[in-house]
Amino acid sequence: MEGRAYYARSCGAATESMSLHQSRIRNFCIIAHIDHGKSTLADRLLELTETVAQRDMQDQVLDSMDLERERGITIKSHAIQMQYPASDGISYTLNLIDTPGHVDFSYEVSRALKACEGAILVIDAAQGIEAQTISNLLLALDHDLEIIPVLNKVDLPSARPDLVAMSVENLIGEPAEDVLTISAKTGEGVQDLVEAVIARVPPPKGKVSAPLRALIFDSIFNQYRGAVAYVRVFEGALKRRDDIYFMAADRTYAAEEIGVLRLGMEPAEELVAGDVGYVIGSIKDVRDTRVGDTITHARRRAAAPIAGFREVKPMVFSGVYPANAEDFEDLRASLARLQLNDSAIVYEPETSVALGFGFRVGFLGLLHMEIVQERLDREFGLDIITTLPNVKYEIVLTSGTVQIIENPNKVPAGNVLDHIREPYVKAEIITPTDYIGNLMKLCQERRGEYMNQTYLDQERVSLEYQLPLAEIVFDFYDRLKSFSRGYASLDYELSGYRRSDLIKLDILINGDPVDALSAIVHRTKAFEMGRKLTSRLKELIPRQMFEVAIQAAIGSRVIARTTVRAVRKDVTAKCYGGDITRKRKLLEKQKEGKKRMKHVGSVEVPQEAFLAVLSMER
Amino acid sequence: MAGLYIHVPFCRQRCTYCDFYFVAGQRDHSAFVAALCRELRQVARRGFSEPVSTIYIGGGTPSQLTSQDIARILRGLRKAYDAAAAEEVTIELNPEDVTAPYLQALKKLGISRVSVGIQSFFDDELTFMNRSHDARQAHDALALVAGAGFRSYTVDLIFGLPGQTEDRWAQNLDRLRAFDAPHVSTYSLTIEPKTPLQKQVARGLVSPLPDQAMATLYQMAMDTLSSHGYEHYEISSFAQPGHRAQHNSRYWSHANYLGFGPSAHSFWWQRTGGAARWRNVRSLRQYVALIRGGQSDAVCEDHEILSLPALGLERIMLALRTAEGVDLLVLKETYDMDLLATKGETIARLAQAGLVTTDARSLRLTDRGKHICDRVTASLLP
Ligand SMILES: Nc1nc2c(ncn2[C@@H]2O[C@H](COP(=O)(O)OP(=O)(O)O)[C@@H](O)[C@H]2O)c(=O)[nH]1
Ligand code: SF4
Ligand SMILES: [Mg+2]
Repeated sequence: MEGRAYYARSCGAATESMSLHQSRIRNFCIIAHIDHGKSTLADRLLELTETVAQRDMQDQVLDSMDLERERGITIKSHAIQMQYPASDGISYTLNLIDTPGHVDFSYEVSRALKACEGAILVIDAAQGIEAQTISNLLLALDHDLEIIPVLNKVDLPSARPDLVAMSVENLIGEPAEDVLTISAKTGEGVQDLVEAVIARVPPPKGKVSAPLRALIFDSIFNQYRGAVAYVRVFEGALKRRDDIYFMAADRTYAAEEIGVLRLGMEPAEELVAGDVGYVIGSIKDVRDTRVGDTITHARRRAAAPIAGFREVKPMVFSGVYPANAEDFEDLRASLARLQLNDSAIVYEPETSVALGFGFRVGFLGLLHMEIVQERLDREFGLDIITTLPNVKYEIVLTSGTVQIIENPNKVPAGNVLDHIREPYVKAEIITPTDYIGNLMKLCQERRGEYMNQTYLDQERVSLEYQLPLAEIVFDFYDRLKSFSRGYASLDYELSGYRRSDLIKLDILINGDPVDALSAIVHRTKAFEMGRKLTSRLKELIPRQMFEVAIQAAIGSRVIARTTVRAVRKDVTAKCYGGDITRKRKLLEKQKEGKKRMKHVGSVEVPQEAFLAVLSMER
Repeated sequence: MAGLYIHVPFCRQRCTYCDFYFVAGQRDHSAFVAALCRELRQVARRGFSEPVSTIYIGGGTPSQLTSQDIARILRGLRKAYDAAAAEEVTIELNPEDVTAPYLQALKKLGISRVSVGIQSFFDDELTFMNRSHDARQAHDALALVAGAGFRSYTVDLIFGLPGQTEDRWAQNLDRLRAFDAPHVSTYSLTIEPKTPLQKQVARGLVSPLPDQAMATLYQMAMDTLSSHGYEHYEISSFAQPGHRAQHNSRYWSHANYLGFGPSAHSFWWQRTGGAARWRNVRSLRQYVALIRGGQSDAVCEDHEILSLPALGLERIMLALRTAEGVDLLVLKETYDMDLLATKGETIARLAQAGLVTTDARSLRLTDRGKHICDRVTASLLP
């Protein structure tokens, strides 16, 4: 890259600061509602540009984690550079930045969008516009991206491209007849789409001579190389071995290796304004390569970081305990290793009377929580128990002081507690008009506050609600789907804390509170939840020598109660010379089984009971 | 001193609940009797040869043997072992085999105690269990035994048959009481694996009595028998004063015993510490062949040496079933197990719940505790 000539293009779209190098780059992303074909389209682009040899081609190349493939969602952002000889005779560098596809990861999405100048908005021509189509579109517009709407899956008999094109016109003003149509499956129309990207997405700008500003839009952890930051350079030039400074993390490292992201990492000597690539620098911890942070030069620092950095804050918390107490240290080590990969996880040790030693772990959302659980199981072989997830609450004391708690057991005693505040979200639900009634009912049940209703076209409406996050994070999405026969879609963002009539619900077994089952719930839901939990536990706790009382209580007031009757009969009739060995062996086996029992006071509760109750939908 | 058990592996037919080893329909028992005598000799010669305190001839159905065969067995036994001081010689009888001359012959052989497998006084119940006798025979046999002048005798009764009512069980107990038997063993019907009964249950042909009903019947037995002067000295055993089963008591106190015949079990303290348990092969054919070849040691299967902790566990499990309960001092001194120190809290809780009574020296089940004896035992294990 030595001796590259920089000059301003003479064409009108170019600005003074744009170089020839920049004029041949297009940074773009694909945004879509889940399953509309983002990953499939990415596969076609990689083929068309011969970035991936045919023989290496497998479905959803960019979703590299097993979990991503299995679940069909993108969890991490990815970037890949392609070369495309366009019809104008010029070879262009296309940087495709693939964004995560779930609301849990919306901040990551925003950083990935920031790294682009354009976005292909993929819309399933059979499904039409859905919630994430709109939320992603709005996000993309927020970042001033050039939007290229495209209708996918036109090969499907159920595709209604004309109708969907009309709603696209209504949505973004793109004339319906100009909307491109493709089949990511067959490849039809994909080449035209790439030409459109080149023609319409503006090339990157930014002075190469300015102080370095590179945005980290994702980072991964490599066992051998440490943290690898994926960056988009906005200004300046980054050379290998430069000393670099991470502005939010406030850390300095040497850029030991920089390069571009092809199918693997390809080292380069320099990344300049407009480029997308990676930076490696003996960085031990992904928490130093935070998504959204700005890299500048250690000595010639930029005046200000790229706007929009946010500390990633977990939204959902849960106790994570080893099923076998001996695995505690393993769990600690595993969480530490996971955190190297996934800076969004936070954890700290906690203890539970019922479950022993474990950790309170914070997650971005329930999906993220499930992913972490699965990774602990698959990658680390750990058998774990997780407690009921909860959001972060603000506790307002009578003294006026505010405490923030992530564990229901931290709710202070009634006499010092004034009230509890909980996080709310602004939720957008897009649904065919047929289901409006159902969904409004659902939102109401979930303590939603109606805000607004917008018709997107004759058949679709967007509902806006303020909803408690706690009501959304559990089975809301599943309910939404079943209330709308799968048609409705959901998107939400945090909108702040509000005072609610929340109480702490305790479960007591023979008078001893089971801390792992405590929950903060709205007063109107406490009775039902108490009843559900107690009756489920009644089924799961085996009969014991004593009667076992299971109670749900708010403070000292019992609101639900069930009883597990005592065992009536458990005695071997005959115990003579020939029976003793068998009986002893039975006892020894029972003794082994007891190790998997958790103790609440004098009551033995099988681990499975906790698992079943904790995984019970509310 | 040692207890000797002799297993006679013959029955007419299989009772539905039974998982004992036997062969059905065999007429000629001479090969078995000969092998048994040899086994007695061979085992004694191998050094298992303490003086005998109790003898128990069980089965199977020992009364399938003629009194001559029994005489040969006892002669063989007395040749191999010093049984001069044996204070109890028991034989099990099935009602259909009981006749006055047979009983007199047994008495002459030195049998001091007989155990009659009555099980029920009702034909429908006997039929359900596939017993090889009817109610009339049960009655008659018992009358003969009661009048035969043995030092003691015992009656077996089973309760908790599917559908058995409290009333029916009360009638069984009533009929039993009329005989004023010195000793009674009552067993709750147990569904053992691989028995015909278990298959019936698995196929849904029979549904076991619910635990609650079973517990009620057991309580009735306890109440009735203790109100008539019986001492409930073991979970399933009731005795009038002076009539406890001494042979069985040896099982519960970890005394040495030797089993002869196919499928018989043995327990023997080792001089080197710990104790051994083993079982004879569960096949009459193999048993006879091996013994004929002089290989009484090859008859033994499942031989295991129990460590002190395993023995301690056994001791708790066995002693808890008895009226004397667990002797905490013995447990500490002989088995190095300090139950009060390790299980003090549990014991206190059990006592508070009325399941055990305890003083510094012993731990005993209450009647409530007896219903869930196995549970209580499990909770006391280290
Ligand atoms: N028939 C048809 N199916 C498609 C097309 N594009 C994607 N799909 C299918 O739609 C499903 C979701 O596609 P995927 O690329 O994983 O969607 P993503 O969630 O947006 O990444 C997969 O089963 C694809 O095979 C298309 O053009 N035609
Ligand atoms: S008679 Fe006794 S040993 Fe024989 S089958 Fe019946 S219960 Fe079993
Ligand atoms: Mg995908």
